[in-house]
Amino acid sequence: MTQTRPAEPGHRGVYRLSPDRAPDPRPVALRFEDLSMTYPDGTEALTGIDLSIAAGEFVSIIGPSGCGKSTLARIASGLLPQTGGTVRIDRDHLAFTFQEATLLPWRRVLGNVELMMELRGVPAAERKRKALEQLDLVGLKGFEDRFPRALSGGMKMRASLARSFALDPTVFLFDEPFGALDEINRERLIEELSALHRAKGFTGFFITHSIPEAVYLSSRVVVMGARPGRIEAEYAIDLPQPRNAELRFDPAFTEGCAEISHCLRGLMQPDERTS
Amino acid sequence: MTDTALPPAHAPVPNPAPPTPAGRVIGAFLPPVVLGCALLALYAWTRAGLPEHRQFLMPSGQGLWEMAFSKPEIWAELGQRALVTISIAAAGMACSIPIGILLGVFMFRMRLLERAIFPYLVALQSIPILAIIPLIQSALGFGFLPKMLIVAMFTFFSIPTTLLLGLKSLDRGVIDLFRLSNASWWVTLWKAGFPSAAPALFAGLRISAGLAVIGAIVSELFFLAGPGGLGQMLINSKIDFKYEEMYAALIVSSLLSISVYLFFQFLGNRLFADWHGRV
Ligand SMILES: Nc1ncnc2c1ncn2[C@@H]1O[C@H](COP(=O)(O)OP(=O)(O)OP(=O)(O)O)[C@@H](O)[C@H]1O
Ligand SMILES: [Mg+2]
Repeated sequence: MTQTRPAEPGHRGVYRLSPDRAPDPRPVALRFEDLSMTYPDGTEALTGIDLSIAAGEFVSIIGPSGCGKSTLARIASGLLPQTGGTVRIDRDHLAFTFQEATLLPWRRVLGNVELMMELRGVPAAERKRKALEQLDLVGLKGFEDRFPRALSGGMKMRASLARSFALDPTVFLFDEPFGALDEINRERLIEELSALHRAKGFTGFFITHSIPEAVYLSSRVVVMGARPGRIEAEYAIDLPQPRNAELRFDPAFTEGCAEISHCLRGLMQPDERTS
Repeated sequence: MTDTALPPAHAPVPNPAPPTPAGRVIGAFLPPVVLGCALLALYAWTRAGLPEHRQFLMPSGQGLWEMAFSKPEIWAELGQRALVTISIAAAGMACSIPIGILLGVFMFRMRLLERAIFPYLVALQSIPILAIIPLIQSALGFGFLPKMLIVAMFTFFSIPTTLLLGLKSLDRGVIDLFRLSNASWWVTLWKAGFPSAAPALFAGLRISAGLAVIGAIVSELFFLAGPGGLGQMLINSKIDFKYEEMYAALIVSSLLSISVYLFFQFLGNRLFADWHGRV
């Protein structure tokens, strides 16, 4: 599984990228250079992360639990200062959906979706229009006046996604946004997100535990390993756009998922033997 | 596979039928009414056990009616005095609430301040306020100000402490949302800190409010001059040996205390019930 297939013109499928390939000529939107993070308690969460994401690219990060994916996203967002290396990013139009829905319990759904726009000074009428539009998109139409405690876990997460979508960002960080969703809503939102990305062309940094989700959405999948967190492999996802539900049954898609799954298993095994 | 090998774990439990409106009223009012009647009976029984010449200590219902509640001038006096007591209590809280909130915010803003101030807050709480009332009298005289100060001292403690507790339990993720938008500390305090801390603060305010009326009455026990409140009436009626009037003042004082408590509970429920639940 370690062979590196060249990107032949017209080749379709998922193939592993060589670490010393030629740099991407497109302008960079997000870049980590020899990044490392050690928490104050001594936990080495990340070491030697080198990763460059071009403007408009959609990259998924996948890896075992605790390998530092959330840490990496928090560093990219500016919420957490790294302890070594450099991160380059323009944070002016950034949105970040957390692993938890993080709604303000004292605001109704509409007020929650408006929150980030409100903090950024978007006028009230525009705020409301955009918020309602996004609530419709995530399937929460009619729930604007509910308080978060009257929503299910998946509905909260969708409200949280609506809050991010409403910002219309150029760089979009997602930390396992679909984890709490049921299968139908998850697939619908994945397709919605894919369409949104095609339409708006934002740069996507998408953390997930689901390989099909990663392959479906991305032009590149980064596999991380744990203890300390590092990049193990990168896969180019060379599948046609626009993607639709049919793609899930395409052999190129399923083979690609299998290959990434194999790579992930390779990372997990030594860990399981020691414990 | 035989299904007899596995016994049913427990019988099905149907949902209870929702109570009728009448049932709900009875459910809410019957227990306290029954206990109240029991307490009244206990009072009457204790009174009956007292020797005749000591029965003035526990006036009978008839005595209360004849000597106090049937007289319009007593009603007028009670009303007037309740007004004085309430204004002392309100002025004291008008003092302790803003100062308490400010202090809570300061302690939240600076850990250093919290470490410096908190032990003294606890110390202040443990001073027997009654013991320093004579000192306050000597320093500030017999006017309105010293009484207000005493109420403020009674009610102060729970305000900064509950506010600080509430502010500190603000969800980290919510703070991150505000940081992502480069919101200032003040905006974060206003839009996240206060709403999130408000239920805790209101729990503190309810405690303070109950104490405020007590403080206002206690503040007058040593101040017998001037147009006084219910506290003064308590002392004066003792001097004049009018125990029925004393009981009337007592009853009105507790009603006052309870209504102030209920007012803050009502206000808290109005503000937070829909997202935080009722108290
Ligand atoms: N605040 C913290 N202090 C100390 N250690 C931390 C802290 N946050 C995370 N860690 C540690 O850093 C490592 C990476 O954590 P992180 O949350 O980034 O993992 P993750 O890849 O997002 O995991 P998951 O897939 O379960 O969300 C873990 O070993 C975790 O224990
Ligand atoms: Mg995580």
